[in-house]
Amino acid sequence: MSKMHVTTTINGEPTEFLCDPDRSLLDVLRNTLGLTGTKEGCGTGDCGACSVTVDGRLVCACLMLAVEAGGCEIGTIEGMAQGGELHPLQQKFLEMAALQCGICTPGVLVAAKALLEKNPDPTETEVRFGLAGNLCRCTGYDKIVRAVLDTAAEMREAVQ
Amino acid sequence: MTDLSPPAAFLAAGPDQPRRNPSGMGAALRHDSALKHATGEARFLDDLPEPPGLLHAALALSPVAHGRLAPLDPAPARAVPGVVAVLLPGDIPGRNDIAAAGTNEVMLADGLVEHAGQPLAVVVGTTRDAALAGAAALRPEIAPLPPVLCIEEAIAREAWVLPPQAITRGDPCAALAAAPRRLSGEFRAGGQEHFYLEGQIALAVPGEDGEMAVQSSTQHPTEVQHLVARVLGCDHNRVTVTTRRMGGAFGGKESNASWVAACAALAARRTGRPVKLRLPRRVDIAATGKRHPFLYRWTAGFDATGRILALDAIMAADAGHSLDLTGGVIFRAITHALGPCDVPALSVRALACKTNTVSNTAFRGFGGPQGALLIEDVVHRVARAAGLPPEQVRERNFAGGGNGSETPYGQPLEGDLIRRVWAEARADADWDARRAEVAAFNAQHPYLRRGLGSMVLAFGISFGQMHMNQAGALVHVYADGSIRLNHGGTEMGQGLFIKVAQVVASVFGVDVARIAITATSTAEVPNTAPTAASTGSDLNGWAAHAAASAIRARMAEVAAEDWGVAPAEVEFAEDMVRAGGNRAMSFGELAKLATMKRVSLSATGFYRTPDIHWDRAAMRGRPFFYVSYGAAVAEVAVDTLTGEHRCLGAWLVQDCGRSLNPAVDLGQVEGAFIQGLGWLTCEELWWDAEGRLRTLGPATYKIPGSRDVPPVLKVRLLEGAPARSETIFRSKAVGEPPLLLATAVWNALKDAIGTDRLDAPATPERVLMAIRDR
Amino acid sequence: MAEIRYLAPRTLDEAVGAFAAAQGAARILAGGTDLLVQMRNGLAKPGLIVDIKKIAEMTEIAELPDGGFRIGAAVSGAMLAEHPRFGQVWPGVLEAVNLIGSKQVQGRASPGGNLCNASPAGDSVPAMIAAGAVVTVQGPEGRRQMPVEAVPAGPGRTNLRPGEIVVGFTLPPRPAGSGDAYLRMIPRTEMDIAVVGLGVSLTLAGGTVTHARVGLGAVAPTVLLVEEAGNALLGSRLEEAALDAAAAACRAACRPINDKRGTIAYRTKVAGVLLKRAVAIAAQRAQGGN
Repeated sequence: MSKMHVTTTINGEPTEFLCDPDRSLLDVLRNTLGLTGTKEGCGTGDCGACSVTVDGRLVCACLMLAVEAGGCEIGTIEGMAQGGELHPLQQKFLEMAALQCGICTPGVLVAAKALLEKNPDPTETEVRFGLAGNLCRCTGYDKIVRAVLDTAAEMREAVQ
Repeated sequence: MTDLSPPAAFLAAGPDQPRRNPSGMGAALRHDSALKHATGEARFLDDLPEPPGLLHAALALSPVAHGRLAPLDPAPARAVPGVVAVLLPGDIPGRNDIAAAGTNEVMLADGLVEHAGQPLAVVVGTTRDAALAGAAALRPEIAPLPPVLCIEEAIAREAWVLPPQAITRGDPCAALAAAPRRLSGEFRAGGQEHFYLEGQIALAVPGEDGEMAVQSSTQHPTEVQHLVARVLGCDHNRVTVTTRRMGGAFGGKESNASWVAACAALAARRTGRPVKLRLPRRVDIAATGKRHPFLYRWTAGFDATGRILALDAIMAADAGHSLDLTGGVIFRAITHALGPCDVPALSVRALACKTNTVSNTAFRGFGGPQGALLIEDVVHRVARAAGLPPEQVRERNFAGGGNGSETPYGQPLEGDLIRRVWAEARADADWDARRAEVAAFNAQHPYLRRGLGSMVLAFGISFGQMHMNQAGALVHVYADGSIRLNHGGTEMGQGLFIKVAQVVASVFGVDVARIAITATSTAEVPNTAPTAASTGSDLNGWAAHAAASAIRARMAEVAAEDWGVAPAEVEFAEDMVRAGGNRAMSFGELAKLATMKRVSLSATGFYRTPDIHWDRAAMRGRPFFYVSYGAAVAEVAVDTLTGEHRCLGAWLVQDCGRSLNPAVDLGQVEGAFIQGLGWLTCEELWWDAEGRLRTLGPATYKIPGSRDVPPVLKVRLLEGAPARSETIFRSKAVGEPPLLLATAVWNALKDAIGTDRLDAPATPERVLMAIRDR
Repeated sequence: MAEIRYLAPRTLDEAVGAFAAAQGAARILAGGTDLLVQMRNGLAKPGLIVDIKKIAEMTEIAELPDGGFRIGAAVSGAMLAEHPRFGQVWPGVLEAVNLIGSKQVQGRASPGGNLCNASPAGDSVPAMIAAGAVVTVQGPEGRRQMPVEAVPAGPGRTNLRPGEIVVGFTLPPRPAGSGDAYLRMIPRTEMDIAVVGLGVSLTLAGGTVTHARVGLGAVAPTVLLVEEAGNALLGSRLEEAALDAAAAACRAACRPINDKRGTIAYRTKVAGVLLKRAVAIAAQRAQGGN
């Protein structure tokens, strides 16, 4: 199979890779680039464990071909903490014990960050709706929802 | 092996000592890997760098539920580019037997296929895609036999995977005949897919001299070791199994993880190369066991006050095609069939039905949740028949008070705690006011109906198999005062590792940050029990306590000799060691001193649960070290035109004794409740007429999502109720019991629509049909 | 492994040429949310993937001079939601498109893909049928137009001719007093596939229905235009009798299957309930409510 050359930006870093045309972005992130923070839960776009952003839009990396990433800005969990500083969402998830086994956590955090970037003042319903594509089998979601709402409030205060 | 009996160790550590250390017992510390989880740095098995020469395996599964399997032709798979081996039963060097409890449960079908989804072959390829394509290319020839696909048919054929079990007390026939009123019921509860977000995975690396190093996402490294050795035909000492963490397990990585690892090990042995087997989600759901579905039939005798005088019940569990852990599941179901209630005369019989479906297995609660539904259904029906609220009928039958205070098999129950958790949950939910609100709402809305329900649980803690109630730990203190902790428990997200580390920190009086938490390994602690039955902290906490206490005793002697004081005067606290008013050194200095004095700073610890016993012939004994209690109230709303429903709020009170870590324990209670909510309301396994499971992924199998859970979820740990048994720091287990609290939602749905019978899962469709039938 | 190629042409002619030349071995990639799953499960093994998202027309949302809308086939649900006007004019269509999966899926999935996947349960299709949307397709023989309801032929099959690609949808101009709505019944609140999906578009004048279309999904091999239901509403003032007649027409149109998501009895019953509820929402919108 003839491999294709793809040039993209991942977490702000210009990145190039070679891949077969049928490889998913998830496969390339994990197995070619070693960015294993993005997880595979179902492989069918139904669980959200592989959530990443592409040009600021939240997508499931398992539902996108890697070749489609050419020229795009990809954001993964590895880019969420900046300069050794945790993102406020990460900090709040730790404080509020909003994670257990941790395998859904990167996807949840990426989705929550995308949500707050679009809507810095979401209602609880909007948070629940925004995270509906991220399955968690451990926590029951309550602490996750509270952590996102609390973070949003703190981030709004910090801006003021 | 240092074997400190628990009471001695208990006294040595002073369980009631003030909690001076901020990171010791009772501190709400975060999960040991929380930071790494939040940054994506925590490595699950599939995240690890791949060893050189790695091959990938895939399973070929039976498309047929029951039939004669002709010898499989490997040629179509071999023709797929990248496929290097196709392994069939004849390629197994040891025994083709993965039975966890019994014998003769095949790993790869040999001549006979007993369920759709049964593994037929292991295909090995240079890439995972090649292995999967090879597996898909195989064309098994199966001459179909008629499958048994439901519990009723298995009962009619008396097809069991093990003989029925029964618990009786008094003369239920006579008591039924003498009771003022009698009532019969029938209902069913469905199974449940674990849906751990990390699927089954194992990596097997062959070594020298027949060694096999296996990394497995398993709750039971020791069983993986045993099965790998059995399948490979080698001694246990050739096989080392390691588990750092799992991405969820819930019972699904007990026996099922073992055969997945054995398949990987078989492939590694046959190819001489490292092999990884990671099941795709569809294969995972098709090939691994689930929670047992149950069918219930009962007759109860009662009086006008709602007192249940007699009960004659059958609980039939769908075991699937083989035994697996069904014996333990039905044991727990019949021992939990009365919940917190007392019934003076009864017979409860449990049937283990053999069907041509995947072999059902452990799932959080292990038959306990299914057992508890029996008394809840009886209470609900008796209440309706007697014109009383179900809560009043349940209270009328609570163990203790004027009623009996022992289960029918001899386990004492604490009637005061049963009444206390219920009173607190009722108060938290503001029950009377809420009941009035619900009635007012229902009086005015044309088609929405609200309902209130409750649940009170009593859950026995200990493995039903007495020999499994043991644990080991290995603790090293290094010369710089840093500590390395290892024990037989596994981390699946439940926070076991941090809780056990807190126990050790507490013994040494040091900050928990001083302790390195390490992967579970059969090479470090052998012959362990699975991390299951909620016993992880109880067992491993005590074992680690014993190991740490042994080292502390030696260190105290070193300090005492150095200072010329008695060892009993040496205190360990705040990362310091002190005696009298002015003798002090840091913990690290003492460690260094001990090594200079040639004192061992390494110890194993061992624990076996005391005071438990069971007489299998009489079906009597005290199988549980203690009992955990909890209570819940739930409010629901039902759309009576479509059957759609939502849980609007839930108020939970769970007894954790004196919690080792409230942050972790609260998380367990919430998560278990929501998992129970899924089991009882939305998670439906659907088989087609040929016995093929068709809900093979999250697109069709629905676990609760962020909008399916109650917007109001108030969870509290029972306060001021240290365990009365000698548990580790008077804590109580928390993994499974709160799953039963979700029964409150099932009860609330029945309240909302006013129905006698509501099978679980109470999907919108079932709710609508129940409304129509009522 | 069979050879597989990926093309992302910039022009429609290029795309049609490559797609037609592949003679059935090619698949169109828009959002990919169905295609990638099918490829992973071995249900689709394309020799060529034609990504149409680099073709400007495919990702455009245009408000036409007559007040209608043209939506490119590869427009994602998220793009449609971000359009300042579309959701005001066609709230029901927007709801339907954004019921397809989660936020993650909405960022990719398109109404064109939803239509071509030809699932009887595709959410956007009943709403598009109710809206009276017309589909533009282009193939080796040129361009043509067809009503949305004419596209699905059966589960997973369409009436597109070999080599034809869906280019976009045209939604008609909305007279004053119009409103639409889409409702679906699913076992769970989010992230599920409809057991029944129902779209309604109404125009009212002085409280009387002057135009009504009903699209019904997940109850037959294809999504249906239920003309009898629309006719039952036409000329009425949405009295109970008219609603009953329209609900009965919906139930009568059901030819569902028993499957893992619902039984025949359940789907049929719910279809009637959804009709009444969707009509109520559409009527409220038509009369200036939200």
